[in-house]
Amino acid sequence: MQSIGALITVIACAVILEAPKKFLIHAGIIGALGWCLYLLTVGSLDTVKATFVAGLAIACLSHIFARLLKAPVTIFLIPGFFPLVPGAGMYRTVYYFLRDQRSLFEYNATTTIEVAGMIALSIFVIDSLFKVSKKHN
Amino acid sequence: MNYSKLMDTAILAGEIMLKSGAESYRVEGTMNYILKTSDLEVTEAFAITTGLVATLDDTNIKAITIVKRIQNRDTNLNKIYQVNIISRNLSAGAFTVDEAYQALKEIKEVQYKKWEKDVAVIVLVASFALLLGGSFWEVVAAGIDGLFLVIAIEIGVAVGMSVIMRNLLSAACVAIGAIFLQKIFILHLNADIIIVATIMPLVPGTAITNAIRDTLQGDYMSGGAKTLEAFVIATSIALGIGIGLVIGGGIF
Repeated sequence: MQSIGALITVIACAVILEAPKKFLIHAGIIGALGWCLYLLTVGSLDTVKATFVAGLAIACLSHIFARLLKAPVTIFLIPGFFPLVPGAGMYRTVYYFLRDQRSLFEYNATTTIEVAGMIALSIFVIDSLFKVSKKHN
Repeated sequence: MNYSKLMDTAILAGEIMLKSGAESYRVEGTMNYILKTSDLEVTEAFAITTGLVATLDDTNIKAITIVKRIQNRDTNLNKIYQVNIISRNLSAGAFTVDEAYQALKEIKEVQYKKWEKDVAVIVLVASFALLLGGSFWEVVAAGIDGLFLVIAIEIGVAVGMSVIMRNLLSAACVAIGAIFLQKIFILHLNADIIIVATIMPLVPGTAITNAIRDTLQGDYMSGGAKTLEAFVIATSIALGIGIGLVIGGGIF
């Protein structure tokens, strides 16, 4: 149920971001699988680690699709990561800062930076791996 | 070869990509790809979030350098994709420089109709409420609130507001809408889920992630600029929500 929600979210997001029409469904599948993996792992790991695991899968799939379909990897990465990126966290950070609720502000600021950092790191790891494998061939 | 035309092509490609929200290293890579087809000794491309510079030089020509300032940015994945195809064709020899320049000029602005995008915003908001663990009626309420968001954005665009003011106004409308819906629905609704789901199309989650990505790539300028951008956008939204909650709490 949640994965179908993620699929719809990612496709809607891809439309807003003007992704090419023929790649909408690919981006949607990547996002749905990523969210599914996140839900499966978030129980045993914490949010930040689960984001990293799901991020690795999304980045890896995006690279595979990009190679197969000869398109820049960004087209799949940005919509695919949309359910995971800490948009709400960014908002809550500033909201609690403005409300002067220090402990909630600190908690949200840390989580946001950790989650964004984990996503960036997972993309970075997969990017580097694909570059190495490219040189190897 | 007509070097100044090649230069124009590279600059145009870079400009389109930066305006469409491509990463700095990708813009530099594509411009270098295009410039390298000249086989000249020096080809340099430098791109940051707010502008780009490129140079072509060799012993037997006068150096060509062009600076381009980029004023506004948006995300348009289709344009990035199209520029990528054109630059591949150019470096593979399938396109001449003139053809590539013409093709870049002809890239379409948008491929989706306005109502399709508006529907996408509402669908995005409703499905995000589901991801946040909302009940059926909360998903419905988020969808309705999404409609308010679309209307607020349309008004903001029509009046010609800056992005910050538009975010503030839209966020305020979302907050008022959420409180209104919470009051008129008989069942209990969690206003927080509705608000957070509805502001999803506005919040800079992707911006902060890209900021960290750029920083890891070593593009510290772009990384810093995007971090600031993300915080400015988040501040405008949080302010808007705050104002909206106060007004909404007063009315209803």
